[in-house]
Amino acid sequence: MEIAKISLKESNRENILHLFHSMQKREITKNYITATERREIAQTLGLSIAEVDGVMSFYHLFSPSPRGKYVLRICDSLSCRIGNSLEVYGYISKELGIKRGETTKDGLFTLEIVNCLGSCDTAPNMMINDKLYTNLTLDEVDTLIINCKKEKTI
Amino acid sequence: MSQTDYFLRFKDLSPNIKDYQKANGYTGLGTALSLTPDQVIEKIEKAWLLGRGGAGFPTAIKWKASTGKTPSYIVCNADEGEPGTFKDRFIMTHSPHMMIEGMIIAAYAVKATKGYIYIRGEYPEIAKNLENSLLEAEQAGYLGNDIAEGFSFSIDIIKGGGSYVVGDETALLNSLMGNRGIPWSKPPFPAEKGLWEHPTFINNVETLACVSLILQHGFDWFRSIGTPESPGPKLYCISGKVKNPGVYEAPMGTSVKDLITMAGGVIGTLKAIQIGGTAGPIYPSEALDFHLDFKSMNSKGGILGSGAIVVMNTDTSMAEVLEVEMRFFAEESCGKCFPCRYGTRQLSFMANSIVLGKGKWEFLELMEETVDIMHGSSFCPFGKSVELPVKSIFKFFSGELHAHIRQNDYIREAQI
Repeated sequence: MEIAKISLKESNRENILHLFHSMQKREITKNYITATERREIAQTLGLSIAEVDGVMSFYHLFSPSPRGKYVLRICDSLSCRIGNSLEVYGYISKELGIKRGETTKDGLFTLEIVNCLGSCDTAPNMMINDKLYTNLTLDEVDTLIINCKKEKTI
Repeated sequence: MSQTDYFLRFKDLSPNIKDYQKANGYTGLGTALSLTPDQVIEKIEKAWLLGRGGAGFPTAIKWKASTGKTPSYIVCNADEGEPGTFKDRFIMTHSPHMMIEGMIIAAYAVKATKGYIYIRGEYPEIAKNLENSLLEAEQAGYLGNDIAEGFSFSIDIIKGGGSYVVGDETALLNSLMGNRGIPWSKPPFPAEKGLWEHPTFINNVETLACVSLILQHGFDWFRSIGTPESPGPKLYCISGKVKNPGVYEAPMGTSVKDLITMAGGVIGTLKAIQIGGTAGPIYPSEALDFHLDFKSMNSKGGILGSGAIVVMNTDTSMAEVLEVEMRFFAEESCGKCFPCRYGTRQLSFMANSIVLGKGKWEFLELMEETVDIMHGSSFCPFGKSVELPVKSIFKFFSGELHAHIRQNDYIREAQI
């Protein structure tokens, strides 16, 4: 079983968040949790699949359906909105041809809007997978997208 | 205008344990271990440390509920999700050991054997660095078996899955136990029945860092800073339209005006200030004279919350602010209770319509009615608090909303 590769101290229910994170990031650009993995989690923790899905669906960071290799999370809470987050969102949306929650046809990008990345003093902010990018300008956004396309950024 | 630098001095130091020890680090733990647990709680009570997470509850009163039953737990609430707040990120990035030391002292005081740092999932890099800090503390003998006679303590890190409501202590415990992160009704208080029905003590990152400072410098020192009712230094998060946004440290009770001056002043002409986070009221420029401590802000009908200050200038549309805030509440409502689940969606729909040019006059009345119902009948503080931003925008900036709706009327007429 794949799950054995993930370090698990005990098969207790409190490991469920840890398992979600590990499964979703089994490869750094995987970004979702497959039905098989959810079944594995349920078996390991002795829970029903419905229970596992119920917990997972509560949290914003986990996805049961495939997302792009690069998940772009644009913060659009008050400080970032004041700092032009909407312009960043509009620009990326136009460049990639996708809206909030959508994935590009080539499977490279998913665009998301999130509520606060906890870096309000450096607005506007965006996370690409696990990495935070701050004080964004449209030029920098361009470079980031190009780097992602060349698969230089993680 | 006075600034303090008990936290900020770590900005230019590395987060590793040696730099922290050079700056008096872990001497507070040494002091604590030379006392009895009750004496430690007494010191925290004399310092009158109020919880820095937002509620402002006296930390010592929380800890006094400890009966020494085993097992019991210490949980550090590092689920900093309040928009406008980034002080815990600062502490965990620059002086993680300050928080860890506070946690160990807290564990000793309430006789806990196990600790959890619940950090929000949006901080993966900080979580990784914290693992390293915990390892350092273990190697230095501050964590592990027999830290002092009969006192063993270890800490695990739990990464959240992205949820604002989990910042509430009972919701956080549910999440930590592997459930959906919804709150429960108190009592039972976590100090009686928390994690797995055992006594659990939950404190914010900054509160625990203050515990270290109090044990390092003494409670007299702590009380000499700030106001008599809300003593000590405080981290304030200033963002929005100021020249130098960032984390600033000043005594409790510092005025908004002084803090904005520290941040280099307003860019352009000041229009509005939100204090305490998204669940806090939005004030016009008269808020410059407010003093930021728990008592003084409560007397103004506002909240100190986490110490977030978001500054808006005349370029900011208040209709847009209303829309952003309502969307936040709608997306972050946990869905447990009907008034909040449904009310936040209604509010978001109406605010969004106003911004999109589909606003109707009756929306204004409906929104007020909705937040009143939510305040009276929501299960947890999340749903109750929606009234603060909505009512304050209606009170201070209604002219702007009216103009927006009136303009929409013209647009519709023109289209016909």
